[in-house]
Amino acid sequence: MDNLLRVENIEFLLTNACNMRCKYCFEGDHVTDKGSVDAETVINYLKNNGARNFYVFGGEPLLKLKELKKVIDFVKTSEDINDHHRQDLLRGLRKITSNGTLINKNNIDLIKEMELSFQISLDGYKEINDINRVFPSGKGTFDAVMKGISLLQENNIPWSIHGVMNMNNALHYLEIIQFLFNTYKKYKGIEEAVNYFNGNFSMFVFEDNFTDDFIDEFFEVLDKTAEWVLFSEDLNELSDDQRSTLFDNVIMRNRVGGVCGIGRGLKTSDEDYNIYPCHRLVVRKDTTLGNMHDSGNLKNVKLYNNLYRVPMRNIYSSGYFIPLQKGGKNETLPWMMLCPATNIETSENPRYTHSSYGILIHELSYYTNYLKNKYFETNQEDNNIQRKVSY
Amino acid sequence: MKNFDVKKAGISNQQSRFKKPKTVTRFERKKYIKDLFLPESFLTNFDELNFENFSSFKNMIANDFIKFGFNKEITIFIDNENDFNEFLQLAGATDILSEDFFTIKTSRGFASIVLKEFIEKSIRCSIQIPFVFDNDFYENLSLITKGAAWNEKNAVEICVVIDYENYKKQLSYMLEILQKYSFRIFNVKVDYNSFEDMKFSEYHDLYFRWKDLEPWTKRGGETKNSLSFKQTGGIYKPIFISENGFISLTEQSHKDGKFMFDLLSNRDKDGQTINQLELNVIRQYVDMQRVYPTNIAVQNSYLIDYYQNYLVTEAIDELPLISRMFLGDE
Repeated sequence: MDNLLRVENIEFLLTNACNMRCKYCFEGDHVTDKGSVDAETVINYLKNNGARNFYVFGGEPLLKLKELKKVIDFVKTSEDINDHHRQDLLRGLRKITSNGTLINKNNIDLIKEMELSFQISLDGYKEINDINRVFPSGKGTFDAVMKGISLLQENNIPWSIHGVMNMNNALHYLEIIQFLFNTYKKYKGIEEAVNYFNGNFSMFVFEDNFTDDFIDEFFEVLDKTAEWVLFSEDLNELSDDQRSTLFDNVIMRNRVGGVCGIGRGLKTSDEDYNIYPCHRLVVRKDTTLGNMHDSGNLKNVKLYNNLYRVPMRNIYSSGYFIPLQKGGKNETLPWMMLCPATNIETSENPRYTHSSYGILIHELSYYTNYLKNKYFETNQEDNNIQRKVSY
Repeated sequence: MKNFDVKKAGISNQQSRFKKPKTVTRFERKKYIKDLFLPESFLTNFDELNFENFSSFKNMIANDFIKFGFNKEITIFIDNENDFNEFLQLAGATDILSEDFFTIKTSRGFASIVLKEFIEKSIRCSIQIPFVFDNDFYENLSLITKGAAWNEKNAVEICVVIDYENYKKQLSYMLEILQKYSFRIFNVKVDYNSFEDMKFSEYHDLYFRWKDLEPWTKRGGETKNSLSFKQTGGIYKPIFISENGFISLTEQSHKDGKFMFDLLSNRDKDGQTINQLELNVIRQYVDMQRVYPTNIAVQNSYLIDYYQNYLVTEAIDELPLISRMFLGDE
């Protein structure tokens, strides 16, 4: 394979199809099985390419569960893959981002056998989730997802919940936090419920045209959320330290930007091994890097160079995500994510966000500090935050 | 929020171990989305306004896009007597020339008329004349210099465009002009894109010739016979304004139809009501505070051409490799 383009991080779309029609989905009207990749294609790739990290994505991957099993079985048994690499590949292959509605008694044994772990997409309580996450009929999906989660839990299959916020549901932030906390508490216990929010629990979709009124209302909701975290008797079983941790996780951790795999060189392949910056841009043929089997004829290399230059550790500055300076505080970002693919569509520059989203982030950095100062004592000299509230 | 039971939040019946602070300063927002586009002050986001002609300048005044006295550089292309007389009338009737930094960009044939008028009437205004190598240029230069002593109020900037084809001549003749005619201020633009196919051996040649200018500049010793480049620090953002009310990064980007923003048609909009893609494309220029790579010290950001950045790298905030040499990358 002399002419093979070797890609360190690659993902394949096992299917573009989905049994849901979420209102904020970037696929829009493109939700068909066209462009999906069969197991044979993936296996052929694995036989010939030394990608270090490998992922599958959708669409809804569970629509192609048997295809995925073929790939996993190949990786488990192939003599062409060394054991160390095999574990890396299996780790990536077994992490499934799913809407959770297709997990049922008919396939749960197979899921268990394949040792899959699930990142379930769910936005909150039924009334919130079903605002955006619906079946093609328009019916809400909450009940079906919760059945799936229960089934995973009963079978000790690892799962986590990740939501999406946009202008339609973000004003329910308090309820979203309550739902996530209570769900985790129910299934995984208090400690895990608190720590869960340290991760990427919900992400803002930022192609929305945010408004000043929305920002003001969102801030009111954030304050109510802060009050709930610090004062609500619902959380009386939490220690004071746990309340503080929860406050930091759901209020404060939005000032330093994270970036998705696209900034670390992740690329997506279609069924013909044409490479794209990410799964989101597979429908944009003008963004292709060219074909994996024809490394002599790369296209759009300037775009890909700019994507490589998206800073992995970054802070936000007037619409741009700029590199975090050496020694800068290394925080990851749970719900203020930089998505270079979205930037390409909203500003034609992968490093520049939608400017109204920029204002939202800018104001959030001040507002969350304001909330910290409102409820905690700030020592100006060493800038340590001490509790203003008494016990 | 309105559809949900607030009691579910548990905040209406507080018996907490924490106590809320009694007095809290009200939060004041710093920035607003509606302010992302304010028509009457949008041009103040730029450091230098380059008007396509006198009509485009009048057009912006008539539509209240320009507020004088905002300490900007204003360059207007004028090369005919009607426009020039109208400009002089406007300058005589107002204080605009004392409030901002005006430059008349003109053709070399018209330059002597402009200079003569400025000197006779002691008008504080600079002149830019294009620099093209042929015998006529030296004749024009002689006419301009004849009887016109060097005058600090009337800086004459020689506009030089350096590209792959002409850089040897341009860099050489700049020194010749300095020595023969005492013109020393050069407004340099570099066509970075033209160097894209240059060989490395040619790069060494270019590097030598560019660095060879340095001893002739102020840095090499401050005299009236020193070569002087227009100098700016920080991120210097010029903007081109066309007769029909469009703004774009440079005259070239306007010709190419890129990074165009229709100021005139959006005069009744604000940051929330304007087309968001149209706004975002120009805001990425307004909001830019640094350029990549971040590890070089830019000695003169005036030499950065953001549209050339785009042509070479497809991002206005990304410096082409060749421009790093011009900017002082060692």
